Amino acid sequence: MVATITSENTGSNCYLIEEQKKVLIIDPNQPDKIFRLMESCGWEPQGILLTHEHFDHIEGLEEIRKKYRIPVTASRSCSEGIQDEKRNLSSIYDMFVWYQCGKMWERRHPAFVCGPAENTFEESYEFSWQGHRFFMKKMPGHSAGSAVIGMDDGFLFTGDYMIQGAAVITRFYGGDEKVYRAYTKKYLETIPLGMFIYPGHGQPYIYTKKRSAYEE
Amino acid sequence: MTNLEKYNKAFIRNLGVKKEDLPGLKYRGIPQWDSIGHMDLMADLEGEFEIRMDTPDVLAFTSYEKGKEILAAYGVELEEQE
Repeated sequence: MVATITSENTGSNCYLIEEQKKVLIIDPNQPDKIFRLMESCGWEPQGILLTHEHFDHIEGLEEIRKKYRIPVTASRSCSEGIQDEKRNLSSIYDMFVWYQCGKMWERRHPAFVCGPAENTFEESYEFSWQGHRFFMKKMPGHSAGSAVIGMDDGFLFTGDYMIQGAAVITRFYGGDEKVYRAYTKKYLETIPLGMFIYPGHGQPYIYTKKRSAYEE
Repeated sequence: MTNLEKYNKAFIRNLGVKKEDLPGLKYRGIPQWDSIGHMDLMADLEGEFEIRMDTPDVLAFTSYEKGKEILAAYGVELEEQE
């Protein structure tokens, strides 16, 4: 099963893939919520996968690592990005929350960095876990370290691509519109109908018509 | 490089405008200075001048000229170097 935890601050989705009470965590956002769910279900965390380096997708990373001591897998560029407060955009945390949710804190949220991922890849990485086949494929454009994560040919975790009703943003620091159009957009256009899409924001959905991957 | 030059270059770099476009430039006055452009610009200015603006100031930073006033409150003087 796939459980979703959505951050009320940033709107980001963390996904927990559970099989036989073992869990992979994708894009850890709010550690308190993740800990509660894991403990109430008696789940055992086994690893963390990252779709990209932006703060809203790694906000809980260090706290979860500290508690669970589990390895993180990400593209090399993502691993570099999480260690850099400019690349992970945590310096604009408050502005992002304001524009996203209309919330404002009196004091600025401190910028932060994370330690490097334990497992990194350049272009793609494949592995098996609990009888499922996974691949991670680098998809630059939204950020330099962005990747999609596929499971069993039917499930795709897309980070900040393919968010329903939202155009892909390539203008943040580290984004690249030309690279997105030349490479990532072409890949997204090949995704078959019927795929279960788990985006980094908004509701998961079944890809039933050609749309948000290349929505302008 | 003077503070004013750094200030101008941050606008030029993040919003894709020319130096002659800067006077009178306003938030949402051009497509590039939307919320995303604003976040990029603010982060760049904070890094450039090694400051951390309060959120109300970030939101009040609504024009090229207003930004100078706000940065002055953080000890970044721009006008006298022109």
